[in-house]
Amino acid sequence: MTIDVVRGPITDHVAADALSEAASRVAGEGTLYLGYPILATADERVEIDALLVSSGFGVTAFKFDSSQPSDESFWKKLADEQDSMYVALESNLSKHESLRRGRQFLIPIRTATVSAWAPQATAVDSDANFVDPTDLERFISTGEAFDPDVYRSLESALQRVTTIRPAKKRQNLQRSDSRGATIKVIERGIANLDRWQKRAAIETPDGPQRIRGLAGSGKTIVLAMKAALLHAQHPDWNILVTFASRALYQQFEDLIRRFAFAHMDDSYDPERLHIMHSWGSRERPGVYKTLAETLDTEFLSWQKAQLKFRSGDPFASACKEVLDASDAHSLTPRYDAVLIDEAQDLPPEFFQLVHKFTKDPKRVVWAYDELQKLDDSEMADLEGLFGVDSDGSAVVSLKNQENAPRQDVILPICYRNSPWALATAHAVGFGVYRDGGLVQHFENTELWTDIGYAVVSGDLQPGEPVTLTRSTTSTPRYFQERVTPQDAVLVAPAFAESTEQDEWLAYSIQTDLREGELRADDILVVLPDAYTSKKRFSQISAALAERGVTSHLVGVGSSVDEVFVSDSVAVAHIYRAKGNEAAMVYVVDSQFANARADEVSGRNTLFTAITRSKAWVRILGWGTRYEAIAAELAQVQANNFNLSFTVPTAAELSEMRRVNRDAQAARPSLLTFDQLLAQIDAGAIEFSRLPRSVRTKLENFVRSTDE
Amino acid sequence: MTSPESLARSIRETVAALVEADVALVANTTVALGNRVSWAHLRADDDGVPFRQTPTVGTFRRWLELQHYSFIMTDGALVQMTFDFEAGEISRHRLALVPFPYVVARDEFSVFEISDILELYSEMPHDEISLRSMVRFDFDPAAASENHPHSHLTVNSSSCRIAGEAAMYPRDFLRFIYRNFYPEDWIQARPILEGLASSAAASFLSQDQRREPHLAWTRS
Repeated sequence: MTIDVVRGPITDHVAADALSEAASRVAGEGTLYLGYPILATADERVEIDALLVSSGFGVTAFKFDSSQPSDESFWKKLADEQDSMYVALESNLSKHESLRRGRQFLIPIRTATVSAWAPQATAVDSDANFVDPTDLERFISTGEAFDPDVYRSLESALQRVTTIRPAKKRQNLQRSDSRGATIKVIERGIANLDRWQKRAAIETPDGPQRIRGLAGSGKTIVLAMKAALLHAQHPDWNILVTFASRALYQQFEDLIRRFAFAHMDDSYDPERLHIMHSWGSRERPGVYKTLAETLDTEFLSWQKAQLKFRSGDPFASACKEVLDASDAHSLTPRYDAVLIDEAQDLPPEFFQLVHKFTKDPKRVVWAYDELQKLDDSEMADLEGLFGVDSDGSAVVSLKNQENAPRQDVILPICYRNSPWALATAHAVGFGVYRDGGLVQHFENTELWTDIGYAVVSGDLQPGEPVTLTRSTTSTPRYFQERVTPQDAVLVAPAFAESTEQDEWLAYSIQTDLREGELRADDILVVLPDAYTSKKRFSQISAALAERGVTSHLVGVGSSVDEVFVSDSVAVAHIYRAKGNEAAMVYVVDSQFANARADEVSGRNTLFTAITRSKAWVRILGWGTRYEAIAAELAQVQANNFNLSFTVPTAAELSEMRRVNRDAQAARPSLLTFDQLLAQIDAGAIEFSRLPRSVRTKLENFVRSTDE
Repeated sequence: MTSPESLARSIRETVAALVEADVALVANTTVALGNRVSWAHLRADDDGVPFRQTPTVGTFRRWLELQHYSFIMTDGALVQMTFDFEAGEISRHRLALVPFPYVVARDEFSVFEISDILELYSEMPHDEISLRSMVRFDFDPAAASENHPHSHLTVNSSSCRIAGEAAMYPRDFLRFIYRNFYPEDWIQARPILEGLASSAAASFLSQDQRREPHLAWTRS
């Protein structure tokens, strides 16, 4: 068992390396934080150069000082610094009940200054220690061991940077085993950072960094904490935090404010730390908007861009315009660090723009969800994202080097979805039990284990059969303790028609609210097909209203991304549901995933819908097209939520990609009619279900092209 | 005659059928709360907008945001229907058609969200705002007086009170709206509206009121 080294910003690399080596040789189980934490006392900010937390040798806070001693007061000053560190740490940690017994603080904290000019004898009468870099091993090993229980409490206290209290108050819970009670436990459990998240937040290389993980692995929190830390460490830096969906404004502002308080005991400086949506609108600033204005190009609102660029991604085209303008005029890089969330929803043109206006050494941090892309394109690789140099090499490359902050980070624990919902979602998304085999698969098979699956049997090698299961270490305990697999994922009986499905849905929701003790805003109904969502909503809401349940269609009333409303069940089509989650999710009309032409897209939609659930998901469908999906879902359950398949070979992978690319070309953007026609021909969209005005237009269009 | 619950149900079913037939765009849920049948009021911060003021484009936006409507028409207009009951009869109503502030091609509504269209058009010059008035039918015998008929139609200004013979029941109101303002949807809407209740009441009007231009129709 060796010490875990977390590398925050280090000024004195020589001392840091010496400490890190000494600790690795001696310390055993524990963590060495370099350049962390930053704490605040009533009067000042206290920076701790290193913190060693070792089960065998206690807690020691270090300061590095390589300056030459001048006189007596020099040592006194260093001793005072150590006192500040001690006081700050003690006051910060003694807030945790688990680290106190009554009024007594249980953690002995040592402090030390690492200096090559350590005095022979302590020149000052205090608890201060002065250690020569070559003497570190001995010094560390004189530390006191911990009581194992206290050690564990300390570890979790250190992980809790700030208390992120669940937003909803749940009172009136009568039963401890009701759904309402369970979701209350789950919401509390999500409030702490685990050690991977903490590490990912603290380590920021002087260059690019990529953070990946499943949806719900806490990337947003990691980015928020990273931004607050960088801001606290470098108050003069210009830092930008940006994201794809407007819903994140609120979250980032809130989280960063809390983290800033935890570290600086003060709010952040909005002049230096900018939180901005990637696009921007008339009322609110945005990255693209700011750049367009700086370069005197026309700022296009989302709506205008949709109308101007009728095909392809309007944001990509808008960013391209600004990129082209920036070639003509020079753009002064303005940000020292840029943090990008939801990178999978942003086009490469945006990344190239960001890269241009970030100062060297281009500290661009981006976080993305694996498998979250609804529009079916693979997350562009680095060359695709940032482009290539004139000599053909990628502008940005990532490497994890030893003894340096990691550039490529994976967060393994998924907090949002139960392991059974995840396995079901992956099974459907990839087509694991599909008649005809997989429709898509990762290129790098190691990703399965990276995202938290364990190999039960077989081998993750091309051409080999393998069986995977969600590993217990990537599953938060509250799922195992409070939710059963059969209840976590319920596949409703196949219905012949939508009315039967809607009736079952309404009955089930009524039960959730009554016996389940859930609130209406704990429930989300997801419609996979955006086109027909208004019609489906009127039918579903009527069925719900019959049972006294109010519901609303998300997105009609307001441009602002408000999804949940108290006392009303949210019904959302997939584009509106994205990015949100609910305790109880009903995925209706699931036969949508069985679209003959563009299977990948349909399956990705179903994947996204299932992964909106925090605890329970119900999957419903109707009609003949649902049978195939129902069969796959039944297989997942029969296999105990294990995924058994044969790993595709390189040839099979490239065939899959070819098929998907062709299907993608045929998929409609909402605006072009000939693409719509192709979908209708392929049977993926039912002509009769389209709005009448669109049908008329299509008919006219067909007539005019025939002539 | 009927109960709030059954009126709410018949409105829900009718609206769902209108949406299905593409003669209405999207529904809000109509519910019965005690003696009142109206759309489900969702928000705690709902301050509403008093009818006394002349509605503006901003009013429309606010109503849209708060989802103050029973359903939305194919051109973005809001239909607002509220009925109060007493002893099994409709004792009061407020019915309104609130036009969308801009003239927009219909198929744009099947492609964009209404709120996005509003956003987009509000970036255009003010001259593009259409001059359509809200159309409102009120029935309130308790507030009746010399200048305030039991039942009246209001257009343009809240001082306008064109007397009506009787309360407008759901079928009367929606037929009026479709027939006069949505002729291209009227043919398909007509059979769907048959499922709703219509007024059978005797006339409320006085001789004096009948001497002025007023709203009259034959009731069964």
